[in-house]
Amino acid sequence: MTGSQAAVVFRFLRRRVWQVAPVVFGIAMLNFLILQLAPGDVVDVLAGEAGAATPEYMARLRVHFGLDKPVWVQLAYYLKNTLMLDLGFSFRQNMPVLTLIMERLPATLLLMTTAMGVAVAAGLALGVLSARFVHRAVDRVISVFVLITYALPTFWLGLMAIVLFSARLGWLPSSGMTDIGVKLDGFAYLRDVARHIVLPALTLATFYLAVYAKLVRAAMLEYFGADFIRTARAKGATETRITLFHALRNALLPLMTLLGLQLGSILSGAVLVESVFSWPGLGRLAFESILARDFNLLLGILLFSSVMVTLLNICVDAVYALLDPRIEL
Amino acid sequence: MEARTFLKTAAILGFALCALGLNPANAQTQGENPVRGGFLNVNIQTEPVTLNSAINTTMYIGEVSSKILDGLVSFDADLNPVPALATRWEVTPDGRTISFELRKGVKWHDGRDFTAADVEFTLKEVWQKLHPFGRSAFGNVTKVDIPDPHKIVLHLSAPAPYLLNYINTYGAQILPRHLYEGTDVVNNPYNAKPVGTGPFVFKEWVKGSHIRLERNPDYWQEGLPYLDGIVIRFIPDPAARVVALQSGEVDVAVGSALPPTSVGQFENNPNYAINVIDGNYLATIAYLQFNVRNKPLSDKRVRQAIAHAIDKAALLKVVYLGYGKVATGPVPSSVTKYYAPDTRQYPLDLERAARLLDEAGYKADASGKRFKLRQLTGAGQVQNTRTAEFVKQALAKIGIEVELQIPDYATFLRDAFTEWDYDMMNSSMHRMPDPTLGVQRIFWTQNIRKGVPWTNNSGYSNPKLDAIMEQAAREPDEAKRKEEIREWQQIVQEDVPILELVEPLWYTVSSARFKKRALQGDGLFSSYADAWLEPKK
Amino acid sequence: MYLALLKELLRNRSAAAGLILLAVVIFAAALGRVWFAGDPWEMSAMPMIWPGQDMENPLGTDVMGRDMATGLVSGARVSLLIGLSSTLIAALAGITAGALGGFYRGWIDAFLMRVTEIFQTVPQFVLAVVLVAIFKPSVATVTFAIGIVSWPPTARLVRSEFLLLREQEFVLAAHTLGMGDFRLIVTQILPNALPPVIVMAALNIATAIQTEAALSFLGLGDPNVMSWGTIIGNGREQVVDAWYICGLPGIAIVIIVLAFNLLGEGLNDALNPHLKER
Repeated sequence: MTGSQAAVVFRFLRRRVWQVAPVVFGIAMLNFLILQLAPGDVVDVLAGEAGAATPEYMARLRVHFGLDKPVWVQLAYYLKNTLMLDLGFSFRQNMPVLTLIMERLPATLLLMTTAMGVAVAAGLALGVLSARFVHRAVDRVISVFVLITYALPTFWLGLMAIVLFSARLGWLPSSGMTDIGVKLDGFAYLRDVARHIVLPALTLATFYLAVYAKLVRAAMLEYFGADFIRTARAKGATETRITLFHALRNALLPLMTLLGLQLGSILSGAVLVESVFSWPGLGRLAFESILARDFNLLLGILLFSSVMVTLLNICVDAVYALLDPRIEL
Repeated sequence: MEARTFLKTAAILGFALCALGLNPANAQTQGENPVRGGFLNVNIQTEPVTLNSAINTTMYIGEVSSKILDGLVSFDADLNPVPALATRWEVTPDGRTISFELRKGVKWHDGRDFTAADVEFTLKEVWQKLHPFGRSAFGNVTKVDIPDPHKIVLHLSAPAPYLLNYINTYGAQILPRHLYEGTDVVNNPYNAKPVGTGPFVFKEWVKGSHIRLERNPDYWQEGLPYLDGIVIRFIPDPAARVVALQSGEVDVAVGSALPPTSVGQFENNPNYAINVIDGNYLATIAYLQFNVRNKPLSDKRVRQAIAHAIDKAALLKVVYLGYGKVATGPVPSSVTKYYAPDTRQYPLDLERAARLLDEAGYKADASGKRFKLRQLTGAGQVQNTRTAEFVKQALAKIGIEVELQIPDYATFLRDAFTEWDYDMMNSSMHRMPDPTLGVQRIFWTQNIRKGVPWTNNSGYSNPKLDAIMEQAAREPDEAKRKEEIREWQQIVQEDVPILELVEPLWYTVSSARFKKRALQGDGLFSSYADAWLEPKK
Repeated sequence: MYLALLKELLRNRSAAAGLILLAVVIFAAALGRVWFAGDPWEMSAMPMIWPGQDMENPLGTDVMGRDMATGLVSGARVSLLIGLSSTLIAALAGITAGALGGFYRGWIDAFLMRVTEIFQTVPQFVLAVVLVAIFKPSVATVTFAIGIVSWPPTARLVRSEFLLLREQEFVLAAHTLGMGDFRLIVTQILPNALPPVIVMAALNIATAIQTEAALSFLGLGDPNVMSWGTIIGNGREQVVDAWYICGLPGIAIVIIVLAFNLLGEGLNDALNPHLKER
């Protein structure tokens, strides 16, 4: 990388960060204010779970958690702490929020990347096949398949997969990330995780797979009529070569854009899939924290995931520019 | 449902198993020839939030912490105390002094000696200050003496006949003084990695996944525990729990972790055993409670009418699939000493219900409707939401339209106990072995306290009853106390501020390879020191 | 114009398929109202009768002995109601934000786009769950929550259409003639920006129905209303032994979502004729 290129990248990043900052701040405000409207606080839940508690005990807990302070003081604290990357303390789990999130993050990232890998690979393959054999039998079969997978509710598909593959056929485990009963290491451990990830990852992937296949097909058909393809064809390139090298490369761009836009929704999908398959990730943590009214934790997860989505989007933009030199950083 | 269709349904429903309490499968978990070694995989319903039962009595916490930390005693199948950290105890005839001999040579998992100072510290700093019901259970303790390191004497301001029912690892867990003294007990890091005196040592807690415990080689009972360790697994999806037990991923599913609809397939199957006495100590009752501040529920006849409109036997079959008993009053049948079923009962009688409502002045309009009520319960417990749905259907038969409100648990607690914003609510509550601690709190006028969960939120207040309950609390004469508690039950069954519905059973479904030396009435909180896994055949 | 559109739709294969599927669902729901008129919560028979086992409950019963057919019919109504009304909310919010931003540009646009970005960055389903949990589950809150999380794409779409259209000659002409901003937006630009919004709305209904089902599945549906998600959620713990309790409503969701997706695709083809050949 030359010096001027580095400067370009730096300017790009600086500009993006300045665009992103108000969004992140807005999300922080939104999260905090929405949750302020919620009835019931963490002390209600703690005392309720305990089975019995005295008012003195509960008042002491509230002071302890800072819940007795005025809302704006709580907000000021929250924003200040957020700036310093301190997402607060989960009183219910008795752990710092960031620690909890970091504990669960790898499982979710593993699930998300596996699912997305499968979805992108399968979506590309199906889309390319469809476009190459447009209006032929292959295209029609794929279209019907895509239509149906697009309509399947993720959580329902997960339940049905458990019935078929875990309960009836007994091929794959239905829950968790590893077999805890046995201590495994190295290769055996990886195999164990791989066995556990099959069902949740495929379940999460189906929806996106359909979206990508549709998108790739449409984008490629668009490019089949474009000038540079005609030029390639005139130069005597074969159809397969045209499909793979010219049209596909251009179809990747909209795919990247969509991927960036969908990052938030993938995390949402993870809430459902992780709950169905007991996958110990961030999505399940989010849902549990909502049910338990663990404010700090919930705020932390929402903020964290929003920031993550924003950062990943910047990466997507950068990759975008690499794929299409016409776009400036 | 008209009477006839109802009979038909009841007959059809008869398929649901009955009399489970007598199932011989009970005995299967009790074994004779222990085997050393192996890891036991246990499944509990919900992941706990901490592992310190002395500050939080949520069942799931106790189900794990009981393996690591001990109490003074445990309870046998008939709820009689069995020595644990206390070897002997004595109560003076006036009931004002209780002394305990403590076990010698017991070591904490970090090697320090266990002494009476640990008990004193936990009593004064934790049970009396932070334990949800320890404040009531140990409230009368004014002074503690330690004549020698292995003896502790409690002096009471008034007799507390119930105290001895709460000294197991669930009711009064003993914490290591050297790790807690001078710290903020609620936020002590050892709450999440406890150091105890129990048969298993805490090893790791992978949040969202499992807790691993390993054998304590220096356990105070020679040769125990038999197991090398325990892995407690959290599986949030009920269907997945069933699959896990079937596939052998877990060996034991404690505390009704499996949905009742799935238990049938494990019955009469030689590979599995079902234990239904583990929860006797908790003595849980599912109930429907009325906010008696609100019209028309302020009228006793309306409450009685509602009681007559709900077929508890059908509820037991439809919602609990027969895993339980019909409740007859506030004191559950497992508390045999004080159980009084010969109080006023409310059999299904729609005509009588209609008559009572007419008398109260709530006549049916042309379409058969009388009035509308809101019913509140918390989301999360399937049995509670299903009971709410059942009640809604039942009351429609007598012209009462019910609107269900099923918010998340926190909102439920707020609406029910802080705002008192509901007409009827249903839930379930542990009544524990003694009515003074477990039952008095839901009827006592002094316990009408805004913002405190599981208090008397119905608003029911009866000075005569208050006097009887207060007398029973300090009554040293057992026979007299029994009579007082019977009278108490008669009064509330007549006034029905709370309609007791069902005593659900806590069932533990396990592989038949899982055995224990002795069964326990507080089996949910068993230490598993005497548990083992028979080799695979 | 609309008659022509309908003709066009019926000639389009996917739109026709979508319309037929939708008609079938609506017909089944309407007919079901007559045949399975009872209360879907009525515990009328033995629990877990399999479909086809007993002709009184042709589609079987759930874990509490409630008739599946009655429940499915009730669910169709709930799904359609929530799907349509939340899409309406999303469309109104999206059109308002997009039209204002695209028409006025400047700081209004910048502000509205930041707000849109915020809503697009926060994981949408999680936000919907939070909203429903806070305002207590009911048909109204579920509808509102789904509407709130699904307006941003419409806003972006409308905005880009407005940015293009406001420079068109007919708009400039109307402006020169002294037409006020409001009339200009509503009578001149909006009708021309609407076709892609209609396509998006059709697809939005499908997503909204899935979201409603997912919320009910997690126990965040209106407890007084039986929707398909409620049935799936109730049958979840029994899914291994009685999979039909979860299976049937799931199939119903697939059919209705499929119908709206096909309709949306058909509309897209019909409204954007230059793409038809593909």
